[in-house]
Amino acid sequence: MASALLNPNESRGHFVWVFLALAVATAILPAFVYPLFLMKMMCFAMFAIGFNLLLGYCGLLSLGHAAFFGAGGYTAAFVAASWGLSPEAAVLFGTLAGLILGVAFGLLAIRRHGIYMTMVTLGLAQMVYFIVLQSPYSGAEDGIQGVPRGTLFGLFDLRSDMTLYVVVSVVFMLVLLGSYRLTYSPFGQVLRAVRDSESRATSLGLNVRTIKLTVFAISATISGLAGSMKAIIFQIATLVDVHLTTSGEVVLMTLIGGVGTVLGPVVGAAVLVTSQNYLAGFGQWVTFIQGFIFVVLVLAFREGIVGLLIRLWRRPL
Amino acid sequence: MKLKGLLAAVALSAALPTPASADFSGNVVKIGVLTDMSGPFSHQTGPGSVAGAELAIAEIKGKIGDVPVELVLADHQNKPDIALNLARRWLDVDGVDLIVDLASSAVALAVQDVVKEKNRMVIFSGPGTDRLTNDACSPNGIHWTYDTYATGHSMAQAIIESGGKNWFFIGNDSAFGRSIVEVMSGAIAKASGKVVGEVWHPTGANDYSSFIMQAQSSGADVLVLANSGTDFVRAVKQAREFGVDGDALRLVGPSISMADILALGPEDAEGLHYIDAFYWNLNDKTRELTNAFLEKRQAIPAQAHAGVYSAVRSYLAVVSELKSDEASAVMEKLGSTEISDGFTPSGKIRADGRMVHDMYLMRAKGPDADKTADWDAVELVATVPGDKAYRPLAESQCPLVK
Repeated sequence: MASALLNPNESRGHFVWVFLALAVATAILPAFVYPLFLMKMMCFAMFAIGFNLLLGYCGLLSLGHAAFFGAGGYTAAFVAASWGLSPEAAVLFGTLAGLILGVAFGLLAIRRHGIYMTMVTLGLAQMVYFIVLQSPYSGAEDGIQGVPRGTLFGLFDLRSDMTLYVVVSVVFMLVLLGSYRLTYSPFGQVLRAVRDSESRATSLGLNVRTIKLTVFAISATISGLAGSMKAIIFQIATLVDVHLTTSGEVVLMTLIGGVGTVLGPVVGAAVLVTSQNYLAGFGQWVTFIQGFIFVVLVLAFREGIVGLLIRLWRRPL
Repeated sequence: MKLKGLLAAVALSAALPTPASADFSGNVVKIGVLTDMSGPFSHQTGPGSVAGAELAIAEIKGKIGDVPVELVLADHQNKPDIALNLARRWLDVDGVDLIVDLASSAVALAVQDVVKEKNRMVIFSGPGTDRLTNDACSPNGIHWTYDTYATGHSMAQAIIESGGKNWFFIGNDSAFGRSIVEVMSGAIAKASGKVVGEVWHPTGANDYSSFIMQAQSSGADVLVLANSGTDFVRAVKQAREFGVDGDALRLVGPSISMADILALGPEDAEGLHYIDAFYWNLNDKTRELTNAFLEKRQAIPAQAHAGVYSAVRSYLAVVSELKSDEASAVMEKLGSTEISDGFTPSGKIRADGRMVHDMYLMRAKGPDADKTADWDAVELVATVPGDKAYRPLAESQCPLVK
């Protein structure tokens, strides 16, 4: 695993080219691939980026990230559909919901270590699921349907898929660049210090609890942002967003792409969303094929797709 | 040389697409079955719905004049966001003219909006929610096979007529379970019956014993299990163990299908009443459809399967008559057509998109009853006429009928 992780002293000049290539790809792809599908991919990529900050850089495994994703989605959907606010306000409220929930979860979860912390996040997320299922505002299994996409800043009509695509791409690139910046910042180094040895970090005078809480909150905020973007794009928030399987999917995305790499979550999200969509024609074989792919991927390269590239190319990605 | 030129011209003209003689988008009629192929609804819909659509297309030999009829299929895995993505791609990129089945209510409600936005057509067969023709109705959507109002309402009426007075509900704690209990409670109150108690269980509950004992001590004579699939089967088996048997406390399941009866087996299922939209042994046409289906799938069609067959068949009949697959024209024509086929002897599509047809109150046969085959497990008790089964237009919140 260590080979897939970051060494801050390595040269990073090539990242400029990687991000440029990614930006060009985002600009060209909608000509070939269905834009809505690309937007979905970017939403899940943002979700996985948020998750990866926590698992990859701080070593904290959360099995409750669907709660932040779903809370963002439901809040944004509710604000846009029931209060009739603009999409930017809806996304802002959704992101805030992720942040608030993240702080609340974080305060409780980081009091324990390892599997106990993981189980606390799982338990809390199940409680959020129950609240969403029972709440009179969430429409139970039907979810919140028919969320209006609205007009961004009163200028751009998001009902057009292409306008929305541009907006989502910009947000996605900002989140990706932000996560890159954070990874290589002093704060990122502190995170890695905590991940590698908590007691050593404490002995160096770092306040481990505050650091963990901060990264938990950042991770939840990004997840909330991803969830609210998804609600606006698909005009729907459903129980799937808060369900345990979504928490599991984000773990898989990160593992497939490469834990603790900058691009891993993006690649992982692309693989998983693509398999869900393009295998749909295989009917009942979808779950079988998906399971098979996962087993092969995890057995063949444990460090993930990007981790493998890093090993071959000997450069961080 | 001359011959060669002639041959080339013939070859060229064969390779060119036939000029559209009529108004068919993409010069093809494309039907998409969007369903649950592997999840909890797959036995009620899924592969059987695909078979239903294939039977209807085979009847016209896959062609309307020179225009081919194409079938595409996708599994939405019961996730509304995947369903929406698939539906949008079908409508935007693949030029699908009609989406059928949909399987689950949440998925159906999501797809209803997209289809309206893109002005194509959707016909729901699998989903139950009556919102599809009530507050969420659409000029582009038809709800074909059944809905929670029809099953709940017809069942309450039929049971009260045969002497049921005091009702106890064990309901699935979900929008689906609550809507059935609400509809049935309304019908019971209207017919001066009484609801003596209701309890709720989460989806996938294992232990129903305390609920069953509450029902037994409540003085009820009808016990409604407002749940479906494996939850229902489990609850019935446990009720039988607690001695809920015979007419003292009658067990009814408003939202189950014949597959559940078969899953229970004749001993446990005997005497269960339920509402079905399709009865295989009704007349020659239904038997004919059943035989064709048996040959294809080695199984008897469930109501949603027969519904998809009927929906696709009626759609294709109208499209070939109009020589066009333009949605609003087809919808209008369908609205003035009487539906009569292997699914229902007589059906009519209302302005709110509800296909109104007779519903059947069925009873599960016991182990000693006469049977022609293993799947011959139910008998017809009463026919509920369509205008009594479905929500009257006067009570509808659908903006299209106001």
